[in-house]
Amino acid sequence: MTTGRAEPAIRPLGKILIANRGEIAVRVIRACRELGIATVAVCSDVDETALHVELADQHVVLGPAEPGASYLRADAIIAAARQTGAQAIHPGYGFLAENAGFAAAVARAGLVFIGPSAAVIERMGEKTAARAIMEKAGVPVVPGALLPAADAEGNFPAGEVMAAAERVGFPLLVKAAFGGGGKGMRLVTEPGQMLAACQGAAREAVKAFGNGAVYLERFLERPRHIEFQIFGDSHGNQIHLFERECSIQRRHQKIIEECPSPVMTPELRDRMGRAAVAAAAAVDYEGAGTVEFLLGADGSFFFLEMNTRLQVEHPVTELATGLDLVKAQIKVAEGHPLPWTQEEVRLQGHAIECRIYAEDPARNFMPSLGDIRLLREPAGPGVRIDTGVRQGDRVTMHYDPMIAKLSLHGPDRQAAIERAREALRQYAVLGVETNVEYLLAILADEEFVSGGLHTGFLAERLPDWKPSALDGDLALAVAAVAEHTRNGADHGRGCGPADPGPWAALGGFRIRGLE
Amino acid sequence: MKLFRRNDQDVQVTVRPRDGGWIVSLEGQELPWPVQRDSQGGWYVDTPAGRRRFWAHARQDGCLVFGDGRSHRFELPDPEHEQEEGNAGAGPRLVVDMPGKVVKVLVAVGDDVAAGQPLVIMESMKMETELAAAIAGTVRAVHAEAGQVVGQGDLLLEIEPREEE
Repeated sequence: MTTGRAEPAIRPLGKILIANRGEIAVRVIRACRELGIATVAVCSDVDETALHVELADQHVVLGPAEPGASYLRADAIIAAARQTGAQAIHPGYGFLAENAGFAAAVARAGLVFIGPSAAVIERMGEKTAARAIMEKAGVPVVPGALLPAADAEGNFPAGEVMAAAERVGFPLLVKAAFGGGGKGMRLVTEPGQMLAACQGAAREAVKAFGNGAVYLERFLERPRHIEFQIFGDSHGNQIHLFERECSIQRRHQKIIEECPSPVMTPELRDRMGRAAVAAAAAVDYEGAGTVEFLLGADGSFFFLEMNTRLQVEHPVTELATGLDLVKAQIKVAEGHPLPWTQEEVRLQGHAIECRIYAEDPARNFMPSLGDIRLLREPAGPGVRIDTGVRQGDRVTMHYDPMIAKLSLHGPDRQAAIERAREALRQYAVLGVETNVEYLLAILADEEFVSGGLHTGFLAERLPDWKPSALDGDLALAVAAVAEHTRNGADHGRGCGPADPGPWAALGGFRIRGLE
Repeated sequence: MKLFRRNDQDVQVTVRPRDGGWIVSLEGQELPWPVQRDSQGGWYVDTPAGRRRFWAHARQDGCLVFGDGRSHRFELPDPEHEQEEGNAGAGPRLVVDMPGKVVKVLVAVGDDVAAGQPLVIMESMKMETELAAAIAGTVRAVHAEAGQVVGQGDLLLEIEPREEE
């Protein structure tokens, strides 16, 4: 697939700066260490004792905890790279990963940005521009149409509205073109409802966003969120690494992802995979990326958006393919061609990822802040943990409350589910609440087990789920014994820290008498 | 006997050792199965439905317990309310609960120490802490040295309590 371009030179990277924190920073550092590449971590002042800093060869403190004062400071990050001699910057996900300005500034500074170019990030970041590129590339997009403006009385030109509605197809959503959050959104199932819906939506949109422009979008019933991992290099190659199903979402936040999708057939995978690669090729994509689709129950699929970064859920692709995506990102950034061809990559078995959030399910999943007093992680065949926290770390309000990703691989989906259940049961956290019990409830749901997933799954199957008011007799008994042996009812008082400090906060010292 | 608060209710709890485990009574009702300690600092109870495993973190004001994917909090409404069954002759031991490194040992065997006197400087997660004696006594044994990496449960010092004047 050469395109007649000049052969790019290979520029080996000796030192990489990771412009992120938490589990993804740990992940990238790990890949660098395996490749023998020196690592520079950056951190806010409260993160200076964090795991990712501990694992790196050097670190630079960027500023106070607030991301705007630290992890989002492009100038400080680039200065840190210069100061430490890092040749490349890996942005992770979130923060500045899809900030075209940052990518451009990195390039201007003579550094390698591990990801696609600033121009590609910019084009794919703007939704309507991205859709236009996809349509041109022959990739099906969710049918939609921007409506002509209403007149001074709020009336829409009926003929044009109905024509647009016919093109988009029913059922459809009438949405505010310049806003989100569901404001102005209305579902229309029949042509007769169209004009009233448009007028109502426009009125709400003006009130909420100051702009009454209205957009029509085909409504897919019970769609599945299927995304394809794509990879490109500087030699003109783009391939896909199969799909991930990410339909288990709570308030649009993914919490369980899997690879492959339980509903995929070889034929559908081939069609969707081609579309994903066409999307990547349309922008001559370099590096790791993800093309998101919505898959309807009738097998029709539509482009949703393209994410120009490595995604949170990449471990399930790594587990199911046996490939290391971060190492490949680095190799591509150095100028190498992709390490694999489309024919060489294979799926084996089934992988599931559960995102563990420090959230209190008893308080509507509000972030649960505090110190992690105890942390015990599961282990065993097919168990993978990606985390940035250790026992003793503090979960603060400044950053995403995801504390770990628990990924499981098994020979088939049922085995992966069983592994996930047991691993979640073994994942013990004290000091902050987590969504582990909720994840277990999802994995026990028979529709989940049979693979009947769609983006409305949680709202439909577990709408009123509450953590169980467990019979606490055994737990109370354990508490009593733990407390009893801590204080030591079988001996006298002993020693303790002069200044309680972090040791006392972590439970003080156990005093034991003669056994 | 201690009072624990569970869901806004106070429960009387007693704990008795038996055969390497502990028998717990809640409001005078003895639980049929003993609570036992496992090899990793966790707990388990063998019930007819199988082995139930738990993790616990005891604090001044109560205890956090984790089991079956969820955590529980049991407060001690009256931390001073307890009956100590002394085991005379068993000297107090300084045992670490958190992994860390010994920076410096400040005393030697045979030293008399006063209550509040610093004994060992520890470092954990880049923070240093002084560990001090809560009682007066004589250092009977030292099991730690500077630079030593210690793990959970490691014994650092033994002190023979001294009668207060």
